[in-house]
Amino acid sequence: MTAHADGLILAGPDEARDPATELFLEEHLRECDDCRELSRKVGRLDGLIAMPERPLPVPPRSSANARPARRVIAIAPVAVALVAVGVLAGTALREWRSANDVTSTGAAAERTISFDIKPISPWRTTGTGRATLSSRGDLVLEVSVRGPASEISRPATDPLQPNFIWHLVEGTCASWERNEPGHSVIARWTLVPQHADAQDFRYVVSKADLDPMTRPHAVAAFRNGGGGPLYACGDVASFATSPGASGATATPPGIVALSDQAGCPRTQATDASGVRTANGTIGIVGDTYWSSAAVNDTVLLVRRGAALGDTVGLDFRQLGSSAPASLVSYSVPATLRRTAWGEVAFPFGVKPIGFANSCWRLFVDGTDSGIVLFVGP
Amino acid sequence: MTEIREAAAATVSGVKATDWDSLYRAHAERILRYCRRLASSSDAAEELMQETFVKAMRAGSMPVDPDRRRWWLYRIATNAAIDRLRRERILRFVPFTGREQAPDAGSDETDLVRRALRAIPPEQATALVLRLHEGFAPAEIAEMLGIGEAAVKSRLVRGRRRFIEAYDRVGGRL
Repeated sequence: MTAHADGLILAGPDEARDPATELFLEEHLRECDDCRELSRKVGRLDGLIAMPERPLPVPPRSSANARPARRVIAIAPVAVALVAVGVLAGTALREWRSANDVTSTGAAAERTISFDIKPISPWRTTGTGRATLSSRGDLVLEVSVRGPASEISRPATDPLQPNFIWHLVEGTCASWERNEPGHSVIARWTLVPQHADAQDFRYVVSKADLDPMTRPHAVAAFRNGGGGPLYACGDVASFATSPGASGATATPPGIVALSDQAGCPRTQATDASGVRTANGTIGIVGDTYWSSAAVNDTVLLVRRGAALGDTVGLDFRQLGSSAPASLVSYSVPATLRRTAWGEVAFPFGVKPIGFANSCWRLFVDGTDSGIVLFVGP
Repeated sequence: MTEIREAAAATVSGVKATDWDSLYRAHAERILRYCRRLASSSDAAEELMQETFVKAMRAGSMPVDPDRRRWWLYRIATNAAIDRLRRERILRFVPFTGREQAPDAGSDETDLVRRALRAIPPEQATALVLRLHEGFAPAEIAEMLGIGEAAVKSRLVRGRRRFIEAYDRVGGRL
């Protein structure tokens, strides 16, 4: 194989060739196995890159009158629409939570369990969830899933139609996957997904419909209609509060000791608007915990007084040594995202710190924010 | 092409909000699909698309000619994508074996293509996507990005070579 043939082959059809060069290439390809293979690969890669992207729903525009007239707010319909469709799970969940604030009456503290939504082979939808048993005895489920559009929504429908019917069931995911008898359905519901390939929701199961929740339960996504398959499922551990057999001290009310945190003191405190913060100046919209499978998730960081055009320097300093990196640093520009703290936010990805069972302390512009993040198994 | 170059300087200033809305309606879906080919997720693609239109509006004016208007948006989107890809490349952890994490069970070819594109120099990745996915000719890409046609062709040649290696690394098979 000669370099000249290499260049000709990699140029593809973009390089005009005279008849003599064309003839040379044809003869060379007949004789040279390597160049013939390269030519085949170039043809294949051109076809792969040319494959059309699946259509994505373009965020709808809201009324321009919804925002005051400022030049930058000329794009408000875009920004508001993006928020309206709940682009980011954390933003949507925070808004729902603050709209349905559950506070302890003192009679019984809230208890929260986080869980992963795992795909059931051969399906691919995954996500995370949180189950909170409120002081009133209702079960609040907050779920965020991502997956192929062909799983989460009905194909080629406008507006989107849900493909999932969600269930709260008694029993484990494994028992439902095996179709074991003797496990009951506690509640079922359907909700329109925000995107063809993404769904975030908050759903409240009334105390009246619940059992004591002291046995394992699961949040399961079945196909909507026709007795369809189980696509994804998340096991929810029991809410039993009796002390363990070892006699360990009972968990203080209001604090959830998650066994999967491996000693990571992740920030759970929120302010009145539901933003997780330690100093009141830097906050995280949504949770400070992610599964290591959620490496493609985006997290919203907010800062008091931030404006479009700002950039923050993020330093993630590992607590412990489970991850191969002790420090991850990069800068993030502000983007328009309406949150309880203002009009802009700083989205950053889980991926750079997405090592299983790793714990990170967040510094912003060189200052300790006090926020600790945990990436689970 | 010569006629388009001569009209290059014509732009509209004092653009009304409704004009921006029209621009968005006309081009958002295409820009979003372009961004999705280069982005790590649908959310990241939406952010890139949003950033594109924010920057376009910050410019305060838009080209008169519809073709140039489209190229202008693609140019903004391409620069935004290159910036983002560069930032992401700084943070990418590649195992010492030299092979990246095996694709999840069920990763389809589209996912592998996106990962391979993100693994090659951003200028080459965007040139390949503009040429092959968006269907622009090398001369149009040159006009769009303000570089020479030879530079575009060089990016395509080098990009193809790097893509073949990257696609193999992410577990794809050509």
